Amino acid sequence: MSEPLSSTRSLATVLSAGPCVTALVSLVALFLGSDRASAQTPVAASERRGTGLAHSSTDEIVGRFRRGWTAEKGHIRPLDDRNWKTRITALKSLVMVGPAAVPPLVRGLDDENAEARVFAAQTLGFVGDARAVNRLERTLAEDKDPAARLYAADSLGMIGGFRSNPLVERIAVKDPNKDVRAHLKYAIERNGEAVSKTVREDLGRFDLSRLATAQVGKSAPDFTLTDALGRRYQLSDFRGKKPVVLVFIYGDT
Amino acid sequence: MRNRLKDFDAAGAQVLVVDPHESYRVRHLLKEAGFDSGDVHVPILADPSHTVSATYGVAFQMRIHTEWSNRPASFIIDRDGTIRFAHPAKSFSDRPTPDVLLRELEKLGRPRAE
Repeated sequence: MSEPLSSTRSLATVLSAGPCVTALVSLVALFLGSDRASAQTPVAASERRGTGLAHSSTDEIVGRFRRGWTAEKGHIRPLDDRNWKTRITALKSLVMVGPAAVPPLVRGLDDENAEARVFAAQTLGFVGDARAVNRLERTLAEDKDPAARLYAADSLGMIGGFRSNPLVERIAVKDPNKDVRAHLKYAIERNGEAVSKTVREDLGRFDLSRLATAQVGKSAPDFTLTDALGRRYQLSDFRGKKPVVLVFIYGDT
Repeated sequence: MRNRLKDFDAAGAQVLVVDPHESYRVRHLLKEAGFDSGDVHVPILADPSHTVSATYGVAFQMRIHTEWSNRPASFIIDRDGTIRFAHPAKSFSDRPTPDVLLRELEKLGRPRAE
């Protein structure tokens, strides 16, 4: 099997699962006591399991991320570089672990590996747990990696209840990185509003077998998304009616 | 591209734009670009869980503005729901022009009855 699936495969090995991603998903739910367990998973049994296993599993997932993710020096990743799957797989898996992943992820903010700190800072916003707030503020104020500070700002906003204070105000003006300053302002603009819980649910439920399945000649994977005015669009609604030009952008790019 | 929307309308196509930020960030972005959210005639869909971006194989592939971003990409999906054209960008400036997309749409042919 090629590189892209190596992270899930090794995670599967740890959990004594086969390489089948679908089986892995329900096994992760079962073994990690996730509240996102699928309907056929015996949730009651998983809830009885201690958080110790969830801690070690979180460490293992983060470990897989550290080994699987290599940042490129330049801004543009080559087209054939598939290790982005490592990030989305680890992110999704940790959202499934849920609150039990928070203490190990908070420890991850002290990791000597900057990419691991960035990942921990990013993931904590999706897991969404107030226990991470104080430590994320320290990352925002002190981490020497701007991406760690930027994701700490994002996550503080996403967790909810984030209010400006003199320290935050100072960082919003003084941080040497303009993107960190911008993201901190976005976080302040939320007025304490947490990220919608459907974001966490959608990510936790995401079927990893759908990764990169949009291919020419194949049926377009369906989705439902909402526009800036709250109107819902489902791709399959256009089937039989109109062709669709689907354009992925990134902010102002 | 936004100046050519009429041409996509004329070609009978629906343009959908996907951005991985939360909706409030999308509104913010539109405001900064000088648009009223109500004035934008192409839906800008928010994918904050990154799941649609991951399904379409573009999530977390580019580093810009200090964060991991989507690779810009364009897809054309025909009336039967089949993907007929895909262009994952090699850089942020590598995008098919509206003319290229319109030519691809033309290749799909006109609807059987209209």
